[in-house]
Amino acid sequence: MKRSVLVGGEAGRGTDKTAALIGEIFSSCGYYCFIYRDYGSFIKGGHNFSVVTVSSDPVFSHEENFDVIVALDDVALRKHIKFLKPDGLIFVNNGDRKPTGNIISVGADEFAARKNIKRSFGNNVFIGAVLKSFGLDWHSGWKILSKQFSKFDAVVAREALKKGYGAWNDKRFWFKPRLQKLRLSTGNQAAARAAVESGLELCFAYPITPATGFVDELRQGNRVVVHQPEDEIAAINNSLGATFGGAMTAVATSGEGAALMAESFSLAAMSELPLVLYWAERLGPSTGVPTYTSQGDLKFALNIGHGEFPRVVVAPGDADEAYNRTAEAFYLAYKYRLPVVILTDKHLAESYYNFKPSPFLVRPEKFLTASGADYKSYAVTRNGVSPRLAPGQNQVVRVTSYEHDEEGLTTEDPKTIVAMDAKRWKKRKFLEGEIAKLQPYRVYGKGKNLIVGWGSVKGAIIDALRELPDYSFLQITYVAPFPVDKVKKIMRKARKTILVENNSTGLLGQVIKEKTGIEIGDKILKNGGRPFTADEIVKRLKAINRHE
Amino acid sequence: MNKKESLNSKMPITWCPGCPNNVVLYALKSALEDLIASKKILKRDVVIVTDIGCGGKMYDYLNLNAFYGLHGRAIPIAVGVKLGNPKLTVIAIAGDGGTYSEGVNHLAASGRMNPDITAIVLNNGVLALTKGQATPTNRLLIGNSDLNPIAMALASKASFVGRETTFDLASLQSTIKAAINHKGFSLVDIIEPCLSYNNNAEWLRKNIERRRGQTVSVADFGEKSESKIKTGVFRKKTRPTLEENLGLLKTGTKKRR
Ligand SMILES: Cc1ncc(C[n+]2csc(CCOP(=O)(O)OP(=O)(O)O)c2C)c(N)n1
Ligand code: SF4
Repeated sequence: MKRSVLVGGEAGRGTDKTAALIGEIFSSCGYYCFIYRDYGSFIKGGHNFSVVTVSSDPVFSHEENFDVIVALDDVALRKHIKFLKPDGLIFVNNGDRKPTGNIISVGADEFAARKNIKRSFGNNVFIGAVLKSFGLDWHSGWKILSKQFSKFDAVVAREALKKGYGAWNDKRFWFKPRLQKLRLSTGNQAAARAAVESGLELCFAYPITPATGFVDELRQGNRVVVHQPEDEIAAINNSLGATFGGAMTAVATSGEGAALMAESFSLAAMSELPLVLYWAERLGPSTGVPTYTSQGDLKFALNIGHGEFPRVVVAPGDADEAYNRTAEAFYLAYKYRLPVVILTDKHLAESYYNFKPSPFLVRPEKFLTASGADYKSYAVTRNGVSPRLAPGQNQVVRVTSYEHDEEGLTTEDPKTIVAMDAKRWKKRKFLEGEIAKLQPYRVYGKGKNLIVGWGSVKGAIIDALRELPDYSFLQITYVAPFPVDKVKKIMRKARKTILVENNSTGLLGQVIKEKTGIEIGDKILKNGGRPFTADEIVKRLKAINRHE
Repeated sequence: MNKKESLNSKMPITWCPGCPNNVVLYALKSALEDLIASKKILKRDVVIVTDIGCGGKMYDYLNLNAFYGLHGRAIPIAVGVKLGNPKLTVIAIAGDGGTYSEGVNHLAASGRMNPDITAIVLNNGVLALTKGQATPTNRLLIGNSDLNPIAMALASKASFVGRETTFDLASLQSTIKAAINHKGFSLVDIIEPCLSYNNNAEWLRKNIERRRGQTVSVADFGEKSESKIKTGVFRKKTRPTLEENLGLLKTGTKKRR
């Protein structure tokens, strides 16, 4: 059983917060939840909405049709009413529209005015009405809500919840929960939590949607020092400097900021300083549509930085993966002294997922392992990784953007140049061996036909698989280094292969062609800033099959 | 091995014979030696961050912890090193192209944020390593006006602002020393000729005016180009550093001064 609640209203009305609270209450009652957030690039005015999908089974995407519409204002009602399911309910504010049939006035504004409180505070009235229609006890709502308010506000909030609870009278949407208790997390929150647990000390970031949520999360709890420098160029150079100084650091940005960081991404490679770049994509080119999602930066991430050098690009597909993959990113960057990109997008970064972190498969640390008097900053070793040392010891420590000898002194000698290039590339083999143990790809389902995708499309595909028994899903997580042989083998076995990506040209498809020689003919692509829903994937697959 | 040698690397110097950068290198080394000898700093805690350009080659010439950065980015890298370990003594060395052109916003930002680092700028009026194109401080830029880095640093609230030339070694040494000793962001603008691309030594010699002990304001570096090149320390004021403001000094790490 699956039900969906849309919460919509003007920016600044607490749409997102209200949806998150509803999701949290349902999760705490044992329902699986997924929350999609749709908002424009404005602070006040304009229409925002969130969709809370509630299910008795795990759910990773939202629906296009709704059982409940919480219309915080009239625009929300007009915009979404056509997507109401047949016996759906619409909760509106009084004054916005006369109650008719399935349109129920809950009187939130009136309540707020009477109590002389902020309008968004009255949203708790709506929450009460939603709980009732799902047959949930208002106390279960109160358990979550009570944590949000001061003692003084709590009295009013509780009254609001109860008022909404009384505004509706049947529990038509009730269905049985499965589990005791679940938790919610955005991709940003899960990644930030892993970064903190990995030992991150300093994060450098210039604000940009949708990476800011990651940075804000790091600030919570004061375990990581966050610095906002003058621009992204400063941020990445700060990060490399601080890593050299001996700290564990990260930078966070989106495509536009990454573009500014390109020169120093290459510096990380040449200086062999660990770099972790948390990169949350949004829709380009250029400023594009900054608060909407896209998978349009994949090839940019795979190629960013001039010159040739090994790198890691890891793309988690949900909050649980954002957690584990972030820890792996820190581990690999610091162990192998190279740049690592954690590639997410607005949909993964800002949607809420049920989150159940599993233990890290690796143990991130700074790997400042060098010792001894005869230290060489770029000692050539068996696996290409020179033991690292931070300044402040008796040995002189050097890092450089120029090609260099083992001591880190500048060189133009062809033999040394070739040797140092080979040293850097030597890491790749060991890196690949290590990544092979970290599930660089995963296959879901048993069907003979294969859907191929990466990143945030995972959610809608997993949900679509329930209706597609003939299909399985190959998720590529480590796009660099690419698990060539395994992917080739899986793809060769498939009866039929379909590419699903949230971009206009199928970038992963192009990478697969380059790496394996296999061209995926059938593509389900979507651009326009909106993520896939499971229904959409099912429909488009069926359309493809009809044409063949 | 005497102390002087211990700051020298084994790399041969590839500057033009007689390049004034040698004077700065000498002044820097002797300033550091004094500070190390008087136990104000530890050699092992010194980190040199260099830009790209003729001046940046000091990375190779010094036997010190060092980061050879990117053109225009010596300052943000140096800021990072300091934040990564506030115990370190961090010195950025860059040309006027790197500091006043490619990376000029980092200068403005560092003045304001006050990280405890020292920026030494080899201001020869040209992009020397790319063969002598003009920089923003070049007075001969046709159709343009020159940037006054002292006015800019003062306006950016840099807490230590000094200017010296390669014609006065004693002052150069003492100002570099004072800048390293200063707690906060220090800019030392060093005016020098470039023998190959901007040999204005004669003109400079006639137009240097040493300032001692006078307080100055941005206005002293006026709307028009300075008629005389003022040298000296123009500001030295202490205020909380970036590391302090970020709370990085709260635990454990003891300040060196
Ligand atoms: C981003 C970038 N742009 C251009 C260059 C080429 N480049 C190398 S050195 C240099 C000029 C250096 O001039 P300056 O900073 O004044 O130092 P000088 O050589 O005069 O000591 C330039 C433009 C570069 N290395 N990086
Ligand atoms: S070109 Fe100018 S700055 Fe460069 S080494 Fe020669 S004299 Fe010195």
